[in-house]
Amino acid sequence: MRSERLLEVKNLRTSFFTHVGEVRAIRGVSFYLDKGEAIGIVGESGSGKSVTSMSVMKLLQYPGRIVGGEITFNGKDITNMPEKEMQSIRGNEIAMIFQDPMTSLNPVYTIGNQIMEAIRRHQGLSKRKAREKAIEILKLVGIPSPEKRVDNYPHEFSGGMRQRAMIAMALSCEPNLLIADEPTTALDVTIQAQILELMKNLKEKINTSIILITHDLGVVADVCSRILVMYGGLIMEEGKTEEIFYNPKHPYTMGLLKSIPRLDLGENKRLVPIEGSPPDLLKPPKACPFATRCPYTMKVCEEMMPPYFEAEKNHRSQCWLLHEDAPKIQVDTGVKRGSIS
Amino acid sequence: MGRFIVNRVFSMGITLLLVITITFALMHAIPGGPFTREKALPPAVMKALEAKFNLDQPLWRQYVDYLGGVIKGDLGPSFQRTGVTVNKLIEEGFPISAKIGGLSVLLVLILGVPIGIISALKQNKWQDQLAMFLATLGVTIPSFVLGTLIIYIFSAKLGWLPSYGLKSWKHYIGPVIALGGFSLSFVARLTRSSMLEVLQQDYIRTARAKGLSEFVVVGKHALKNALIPVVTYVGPLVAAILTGSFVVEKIFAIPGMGKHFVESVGNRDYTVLMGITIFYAIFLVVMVLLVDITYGLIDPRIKMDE
Repeated sequence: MRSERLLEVKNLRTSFFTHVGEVRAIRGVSFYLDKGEAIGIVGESGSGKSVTSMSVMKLLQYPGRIVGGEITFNGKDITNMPEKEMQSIRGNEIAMIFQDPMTSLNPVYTIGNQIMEAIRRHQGLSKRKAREKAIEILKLVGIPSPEKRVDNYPHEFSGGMRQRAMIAMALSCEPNLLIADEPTTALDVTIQAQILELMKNLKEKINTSIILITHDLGVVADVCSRILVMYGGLIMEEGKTEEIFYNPKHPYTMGLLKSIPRLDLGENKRLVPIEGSPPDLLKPPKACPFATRCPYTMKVCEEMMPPYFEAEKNHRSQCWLLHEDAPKIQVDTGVKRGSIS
Repeated sequence: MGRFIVNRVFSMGITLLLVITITFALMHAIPGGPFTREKALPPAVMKALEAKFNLDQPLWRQYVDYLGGVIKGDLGPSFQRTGVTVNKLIEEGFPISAKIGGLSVLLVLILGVPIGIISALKQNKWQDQLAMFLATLGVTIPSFVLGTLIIYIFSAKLGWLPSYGLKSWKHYIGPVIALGGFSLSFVARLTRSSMLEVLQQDYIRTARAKGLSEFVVVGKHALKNALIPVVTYVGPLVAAILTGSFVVEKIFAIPGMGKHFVESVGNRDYTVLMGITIFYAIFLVVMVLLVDITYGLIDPRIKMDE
């Protein structure tokens, strides 16, 4: 059975036109997402993860602008869709949850009010019906005594509960696509696990597709079936979750994997950082953006941008090491087979 | 809420007592008295006058007597205008000052807040630049210059507006603008900067991500948060503007309260000075209380029970 395409992004380029010049935050990103699928976008700060999601939402703040490429959602080209039409998609067909639940809810309106707002906007329900639905969905995300909590203000909720409320708000209209931008980063570890579990369950329940953006590989391993690794405004490697973890092809992915804290290494083992810092996207390098930090840099890496090489089916990497003439490297990232489920 | 107000009213009483005491002490500390003239009055006349107004009593006695009067609502007779009580001065002057002041406050709110919002939404575009240019002028030009300019241009040169008195609605235009000009500009700037800050907040992004129209995002989600600093400023402003402005009333020859206040200091009209100070102080503490109650209504994080 061939699954249906929900989202297709082709050669997306997004820039911020600041007073010092054009910052090219995304420099040609292509990916797709099928219905019911969950993919992860990983990468360090400034790699373009969040800008990718804001571009798909068409919520880029001035001076940011999509300068090229194509975004197709549910068969419709939304790249140049007028703002009015886009508004009826946002919150309805594409919903989003953000990193910091402490600041992402409006402090002067009740949780219920903020959930009902989306429901009433998109489904045209009466106030009473919308309220019932808000209570129902708060219950679904695990808020205790939701009929009372619905009238609470955000400051009366804990961090974890606020993120649950954010999820409730995002899922209230049963969107086809949920974009979660670092949904667990601002929460403590036990709450992180609960929120991820919740997202996984809800994904099954309402059959929504998920784009999970994070810098934490541990988070995506749990939820996503495919992973995109972003660096310097480009997708460096893309593949099935197991492929990325057990058989990484790009030195940047390997670096990320080596820097995950692990329980089985013992206390005295240091984490291995990736030396250096990401490229300045005001003057992006013409060749591979990772070349200056890569332990395997070859001459060609500093001169020409590599194309995508197909390592296996549905596993591609933008790295010269995959060229047939390149030296074969053997890398142990320390991730053992079977260590992710 | 009820307890909060009771507590506040009690502390307002203490504030007023302090205001009365300090003003009373300062007033008597200024050299000279109500009946000091360049050409000294004959001692017998002086004595008779002082006896008439209780000024021959020891100071504490005068203070206690005055306080007793204030509690009964009697602010005493004017020392300088025979047969006129301070209550009467306020009764006559306040409605006039309040009418002009009230219109000015309306002008400030109806124009200032929307101008601030539009400037913030059109940040750095020509609308914003024009509005902020005018607002900067507005906060730098003092009311006496603005009032004089209005009279010079619109009354003397163009003949559109009358220059003194309050006979028709046209008479109000000049004084209302002169009185409200500064606050209007200030509120516009305040609203703009507050709005710009709020529009950067994460919850605004959340509201947009819900697919709400820009009108709802700004009018519902941003505005309520952005208004808190504006309310803080407008509360005391109402008290200050409604009790009259000496300068504007003088320029437009309006028989309001502001004139009495300033003159009473110059000619040591003790009771008028005290009376108007108390009136203004009561007004101010009530407005501050209203501001605090409004905070609670706008922002649920501010609890009024404690």
